[in-house]
Amino acid sequence: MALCKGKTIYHTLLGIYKQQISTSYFSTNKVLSNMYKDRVPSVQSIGELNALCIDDKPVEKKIRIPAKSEFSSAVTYDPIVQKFINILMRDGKKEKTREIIEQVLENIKMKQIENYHKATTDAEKAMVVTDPLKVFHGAVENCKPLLILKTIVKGGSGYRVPVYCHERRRLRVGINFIIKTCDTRKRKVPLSTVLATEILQAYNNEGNAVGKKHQLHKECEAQRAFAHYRWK
Amino acid sequence: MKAFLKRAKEHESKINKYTEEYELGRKHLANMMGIHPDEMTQEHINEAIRYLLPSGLFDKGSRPQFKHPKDILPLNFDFPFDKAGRPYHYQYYTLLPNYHCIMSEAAWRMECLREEEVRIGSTGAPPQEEMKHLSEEYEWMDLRTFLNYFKSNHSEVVQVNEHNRFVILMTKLSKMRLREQDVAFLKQFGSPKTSEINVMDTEEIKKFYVNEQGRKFRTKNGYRKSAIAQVTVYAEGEGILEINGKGIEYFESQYAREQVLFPLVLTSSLNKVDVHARVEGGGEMGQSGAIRHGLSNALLPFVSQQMVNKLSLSGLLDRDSRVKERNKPGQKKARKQFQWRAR
Repeated sequence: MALCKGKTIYHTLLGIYKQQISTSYFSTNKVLSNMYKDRVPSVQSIGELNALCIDDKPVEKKIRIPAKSEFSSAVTYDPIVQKFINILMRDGKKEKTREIIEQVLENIKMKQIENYHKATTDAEKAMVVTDPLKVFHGAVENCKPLLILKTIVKGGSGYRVPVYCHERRRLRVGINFIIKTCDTRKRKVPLSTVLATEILQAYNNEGNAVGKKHQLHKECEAQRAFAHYRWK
Repeated sequence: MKAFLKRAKEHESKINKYTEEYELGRKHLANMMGIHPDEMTQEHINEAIRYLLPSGLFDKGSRPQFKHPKDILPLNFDFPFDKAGRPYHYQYYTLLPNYHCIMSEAAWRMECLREEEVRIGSTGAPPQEEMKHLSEEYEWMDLRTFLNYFKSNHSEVVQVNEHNRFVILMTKLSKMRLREQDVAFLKQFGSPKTSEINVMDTEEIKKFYVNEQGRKFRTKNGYRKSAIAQVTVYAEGEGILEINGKGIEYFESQYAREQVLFPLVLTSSLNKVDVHARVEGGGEMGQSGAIRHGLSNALLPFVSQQMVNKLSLSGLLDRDSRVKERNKPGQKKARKQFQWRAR
């Protein structure tokens, strides 16, 4: 029978090439991702631009995502600080958050200078870091978790499963930890001073923001039995 | 079966009706325009409709059209199964028989090639030299050509998911050791990669004009978010900056001033170039973004090729197409909705 032959061949071959393909992508496919597939992102910072070996030959003309309005060659520009500003911002008030964070960096520097002058020996003085950007980067790195809990529905009930995630997601979670520990305190004290103390503590692996990361890791260990739910 | 017969009859009557109307309307149009109907082409018709029924809709498929129905409706309504109701194609029930036919053939070939490799490996022969993969020389079909291939030949509507799977399968196949029949099969779905790179027009970049006093200059427009700027750059200058008659104090915030100076600092031409700008519309940051866009495009002829590459890589030469979203009916603002009520 012509019908049955076709059906059996189709089902066997479907099984073969589905296995080979299904493991290669795990995200939902949207039309936008195909539209922007040919668009190349522009460079994030000036250091990257200079690192690209640029000869006198003309460059290939590509559809580039244009540079944002915060991108500048000033010494004070940093992509991670800009991300922090965007997440802190509420109701689209960007100038207010910028002033807060400028104050925060100032406060960090003042405190570190105090510590520098308090330290007596040369070895201790060398250990104190006065660059506020470095302190900022270090604090955010210490707050980033390695795994995240994601709810997966199986058999009608939702389980919280530990899962890997990429850098962008981890950055965002780390910054959220810092911000949420500072929001709970009373607002008689301005935000900038509270943030500055939190960031200094996180740089030294102390404080509540890093505590939240440790708590997350403990919960992931507790839910270790469900880790295989990620693949079905 | 009966439903299919019904639909075929309706389709035929539809096409006959539409062709009659089309012919009638064509003659009337020719009469109006003063041309003989045999000499009228589709371009005449398109022009006439753009004049008589103008529309500002963005979607070109929804504007008024006047075409022969064979361009819009599919003419062939062949029966894909015989009198007893059995379909001819062995994958008719997948609803996309031709697509799955191609995919299953490719998968079948991959299995055969794998078995051969296992056979060769089990004999204990030494590994052969690596060959050039086909995927390095060939580019697989684009999304649009892929959709058109199935729509025009087989009148099947394929989705974006299927295009992704197609590309993945073909690249996997092309990385194996292929026979001649496999190469012929794969060449249907790809085109050889062109070695030509699409390069920026060097003539356009290096165009400039000369003043009455003998100074070289170039003007370019910059756009951002409803702000329009006209920027002129004079070469061999001292570093004058003028915006609407004022200096850089026209902008009050630090970030707007940084935007204006950014392309000059990148190309290290702060004190070598004069800039005069005129700005209208928008707000503070929008105006500064427009000046930045115009400045970087106007600086190009007075700067080395290395800097031109840098400016293009950093994304300063492209217009930012982000614009405020429109309000929609049934909602308060673009995304904000009215309060939900149970009844």
